[in-house]
Amino acid sequence: MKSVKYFLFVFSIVISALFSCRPKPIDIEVKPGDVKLVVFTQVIPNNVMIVTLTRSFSPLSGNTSDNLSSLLVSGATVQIKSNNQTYDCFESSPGIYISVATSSFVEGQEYELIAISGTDTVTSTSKMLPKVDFTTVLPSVEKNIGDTNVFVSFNFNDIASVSNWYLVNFYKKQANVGGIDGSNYFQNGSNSLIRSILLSDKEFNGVYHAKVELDSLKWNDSIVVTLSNIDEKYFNFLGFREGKGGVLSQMNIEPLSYPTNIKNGYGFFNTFYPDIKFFDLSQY
Amino acid sequence: MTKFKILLFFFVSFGSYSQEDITISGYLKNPESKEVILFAKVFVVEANKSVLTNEYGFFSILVPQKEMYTLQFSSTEFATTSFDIQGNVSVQTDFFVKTAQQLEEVVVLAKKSQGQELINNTEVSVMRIDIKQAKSLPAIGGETDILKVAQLLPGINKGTEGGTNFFVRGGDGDQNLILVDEATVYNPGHLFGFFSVFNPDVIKEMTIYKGGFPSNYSGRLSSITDIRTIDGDKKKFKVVGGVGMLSSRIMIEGPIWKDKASFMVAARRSYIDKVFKLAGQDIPFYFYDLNAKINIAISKNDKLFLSSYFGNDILKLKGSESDSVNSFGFGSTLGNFTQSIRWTHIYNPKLFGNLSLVHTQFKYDIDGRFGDKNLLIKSAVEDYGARYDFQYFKNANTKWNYGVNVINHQFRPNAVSTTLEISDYLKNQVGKLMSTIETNIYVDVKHTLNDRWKVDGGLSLPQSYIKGKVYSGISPRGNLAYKINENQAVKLSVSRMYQFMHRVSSSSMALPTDLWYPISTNIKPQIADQVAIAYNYNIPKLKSYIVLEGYYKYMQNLTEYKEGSQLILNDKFEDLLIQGHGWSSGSELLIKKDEGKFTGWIGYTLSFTKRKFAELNNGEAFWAKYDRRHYFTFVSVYNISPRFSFSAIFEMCTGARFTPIIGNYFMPNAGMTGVEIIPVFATRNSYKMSTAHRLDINFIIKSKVVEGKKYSSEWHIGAYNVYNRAAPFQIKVVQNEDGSFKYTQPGLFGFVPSIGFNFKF
Repeated sequence: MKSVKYFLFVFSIVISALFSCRPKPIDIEVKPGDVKLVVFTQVIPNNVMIVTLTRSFSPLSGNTSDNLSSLLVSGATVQIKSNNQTYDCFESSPGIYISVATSSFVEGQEYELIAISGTDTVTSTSKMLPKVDFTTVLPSVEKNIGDTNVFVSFNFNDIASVSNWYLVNFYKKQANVGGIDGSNYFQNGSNSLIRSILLSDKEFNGVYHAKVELDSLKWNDSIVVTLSNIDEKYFNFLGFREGKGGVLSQMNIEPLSYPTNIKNGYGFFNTFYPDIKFFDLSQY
Repeated sequence: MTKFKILLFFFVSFGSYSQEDITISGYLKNPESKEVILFAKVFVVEANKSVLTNEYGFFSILVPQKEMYTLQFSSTEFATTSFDIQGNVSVQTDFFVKTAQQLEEVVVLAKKSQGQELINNTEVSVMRIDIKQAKSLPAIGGETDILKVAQLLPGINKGTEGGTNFFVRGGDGDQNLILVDEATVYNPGHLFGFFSVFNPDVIKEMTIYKGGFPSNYSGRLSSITDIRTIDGDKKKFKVVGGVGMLSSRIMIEGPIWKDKASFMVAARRSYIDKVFKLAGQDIPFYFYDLNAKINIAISKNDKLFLSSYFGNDILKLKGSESDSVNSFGFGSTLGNFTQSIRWTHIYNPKLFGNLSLVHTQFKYDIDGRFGDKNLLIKSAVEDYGARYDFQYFKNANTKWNYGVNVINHQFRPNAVSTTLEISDYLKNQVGKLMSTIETNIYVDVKHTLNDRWKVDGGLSLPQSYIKGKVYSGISPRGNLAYKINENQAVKLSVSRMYQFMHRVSSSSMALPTDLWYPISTNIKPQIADQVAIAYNYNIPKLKSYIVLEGYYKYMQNLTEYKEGSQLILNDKFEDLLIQGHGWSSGSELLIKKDEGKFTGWIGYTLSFTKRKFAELNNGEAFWAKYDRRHYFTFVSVYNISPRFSFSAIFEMCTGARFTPIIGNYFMPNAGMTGVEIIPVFATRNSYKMSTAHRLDINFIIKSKVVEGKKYSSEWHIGAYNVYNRAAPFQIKVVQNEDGSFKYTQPGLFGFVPSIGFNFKF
C-alpha cells in the first residue's frame, strides 16, 4: 500500500510537470496591412448626410474602442457629387463631416463620395434607395406580476420587381430617461439597440409580417423601431457580423473579407432613409 | 433477386480450375498461438514462384506437378523457415512458421525483407507499420500511438501538434478512411484527438495506402488505413498490459475451445481525472475503450470472426447542487462503437471469399444544466454495411479480386433540445435524419507479365443514392511495375477516387465534434485523380531500402465554407458550402532499415498544395492550410542488448499556413449605438507559422528472461520534446513589457517526461 501511495505521489509530480513545461512562444513577424481611410455615412431624415471618417489600424497598436477618437480623421476634404453638382461637407467635430448644402436626396439617383486626407483618397458611388415605410407597427404589453412581456407586431410591403434587403432595428430608451428624444437619436448612448432583424425579400412574398418579443423592457420604457431598405453589400456586412461576439464563434473564426463599397478604403457609403417609429410603452 | 443470383454465380463461378497443375494453399500461422500471419511471403523454390498471404492469412499458388517442392515462408516477425512437401497432389492445409525454439531443426534464412518485397510487387504508395517497432518509439506520456507513428512517414502531414488528425498528399483531414476489422472509425482520437483510439496491444497489422489504391477500397480521396486486430491465442491464455502516465491497459486472449475458437478482450482507461483529484484539482475528463474479438474455426474451410470496438470520452463538470437556481452542470459523451462479423470461406483451393457485415456509429451528446434550464445536443453518424469479397488465385502469375459492398449511412446532426431562456439563444431542432446508400462493385487483376513486368489493373463502380438523385462514378485503378534488376524497380500508379460525404470543420481548427454530412442534390461528390511514380532500391548489404516517389493529385468538388460562415450548431450547412478544386504535387523519400541492432528510417517530403474556389480569395488560387513545404523525420531504434534499447524521433516540419489579421477598423453596429472592431485578414493562408522541430527519446529496460517463466516486463522511460521547443499551433497578439504588441506563436506541449511499465504473461 505504501508503494502504491509513493507511486501515485510520483505520478502526480510527473503529471504536474507535464502541464507546467509550456514551451516559450516563438515570435513571428507579420507585415501589417496598409492603413486606409474608413468611411461610414448615414442619411438622416432632414436630407442631411453625416460622413464619419476614421483610419484603420494595426492589431499591434493596442487600440480599443476607448481610443476611437484618436483614429478620427480631421482636416479632410469630403465632397458629395450628384447630377454634375458638388457639395462640400463641413467638419462639425473631429472626423464628422456634414453635407448641409445637399438639396435633397432623390430616390434612384446616383451619388459619389470623395474623401481626401493627405495622400489618401477614397471614393464610392451609391444609388439612393427608395424609402420603405412600415404599413403598421404596434407594440403590445403584457403586464404580469414581476414580469412584463413586450411584443411588437409590424408589417411592410416589399418593393416589387427588384431585389431588396431590409434592416429592422429595435431600440430601448436608456434607463431612468423618460420619453424619447428624437433629436439625438443617432448619437451613441442615447438609445440602446436591443434587437436587429436582417431580411432579404427572398424570404417572403410581397408583404412581411412579424410579431417579435423584446426582452428586458419595463411597462413604462420607450422603444424605437426603424425600418431601412439597405444595400446588398451592407446587408452582407451586417450578416457577417451577426453573432461574431460569442465564445463559440471566436473558436470558429473563418477568415473573412468584409464587404465594402469604398474604393481604396473600408466602410460604407450608405444612401438610404430609415423609417422611424417612436413608442412610449406606458401608452399600450 | 434473379439479378442477385446471377451476380453471385458470376462471383463464385470464377473458382473453377484445371486439374493439370497442383495448388498449394492454406493459412499460414504462428504455431504457438495459431494466429494467422498476414502479408507473409510464400516462396516455392523449385518453381521460382512466390505469393503473399492475404489480409486473412490465406494463400494459394498453382505450380506444375513435381515430385517434391520446398516452400519457404518469411514474414517481418518470424525468421524464414522452409518445408518440403509432396508436389504431385494439391495440398490445402494450415502451415506453421517456426518459432525460435524450433529453428534449430529447420533451415534458417533471413526474415522477410520489406525492401525485397517492394522490388517484387506492384504496390506504390503503400506503407505497413511495424507494430513491434512502433511500440518501442517515444510518445507523449509514454502512450504508444500508431497513428502518430504513421504521421512520421513521408507523404503524411500532421495537423495540430499532438493531434491524430492527418493530411495525406495535399488532401483534407476528412479524406482519410480508417478501418478497424473493416468497420469505419469516424473519430480516431481520444482526449480532443491527442491520443488515438487504437490500443496498441490489439493491433496485428496496419497498412496505409496513400495512392495506388486497390479496387476493393473506396469512399475517401486521400488515404485508406486498414487496421487488423489480433484474433486471440487458440492454444493458451495470455495477458498483456501496461501502466502509463495517462492511461493503463490490459489485454487478455486465450482459447475458448482449444485449436478451434479463441477470444481477445482488451480495455484501456485514462486517469488524468483521478490523478488530479489526488492533487486536489477537479478535471473530470477521461476516456475508456474496449476491444473484443471472437475467432471460430467452423471447419477447415470456414472461419467466423466477431469483432467490436467501443470507446467514449467523458466530461462531467458538476457545479454546486445546494442552490438549485444557481446550480450548474455540464457534460459530454463522445464515442465510437463498431462491430463487424466476418465469415471467410475457402470455396476451393483457388477461390477465397470473405463476407462481412459491419455496423459503426459515432455520436456525441452534450448536456448542460444552468439552474432550472437545460440543454441537450445530440449528433450521430451510423453505418450499416455488408461486403462480399472474393480472391481468385488463378495461377502463380494471376490473381483476381472482385466483390461488392453496400453501406447505408445515416446522419443525424445537431438535434437540440433546450428549455426556458436557453431556447431564446439556441432553438430546438430535431436534427434531420439524412440517409444515403453507397455501393461499390469492383474487379481487379494482378498479373505477372514476365520476370520484369507486373501489372495490377482494376475498375470500381461507386454509386451513391440520395433522395432525388443517384451519383455514379467510374473509378479506374492501375499499377505497373518494372523490375530493373534484383534490387531495383520502377513503378507507376494511377487512380481515381470518389467521396460521398464530408466533415464540417472550421478552417481554423478541427474538433472531435465536427460533424459528417452526406452529399446532396447540390453538393457533388469529391473526386481525386492521382498519378504516382516510384523508384525502389533494395540494399541487402545494409539491410535497408530506399523508396523515392513523386505524385500529382488533382481534386474536384472539394468543399469549403463561405466566408464568415457560422458552423457550430448550424443545421442549414448546405447553404454555407461552396465547392472548388485543388491540386497537389510532391516527392517523398524513405530510407528504411528493418533489421539489425539499429533500425529505423529517414523520411523527407517536399510538397505543394493549392486550392481554388470562385468564392474565396477573390477567386484566385491559394495555399491549402496544411501545405507544409518540407517535412523531415528521423526515427531510430537501437537495441543495445537483448535487455536494453534506446529509440529517438527527430522531426522538422514547415509550419502550417494561416491567415493573420493584419489590420482593424471601427464600424458602427447595425443600430449605430456603438462601434465594433472589424478585422482585416491577409490573403488566405498567405503566412506560414515557424518551422517546428522536436526530439523525443525513449529507453526500454526489459526484465531478465528466466527459462520456464512466462512472465516478462519492461520499463519505458522517455521524454517528449527534449529541448522544450514550441511547435506553433496558433497566432496570438501579446503585449510586450514596454507596452508595445507583437505576434507570437505558442506551442501546446513542452518537455514532457514519461514513464511506463508493460508486462505480459
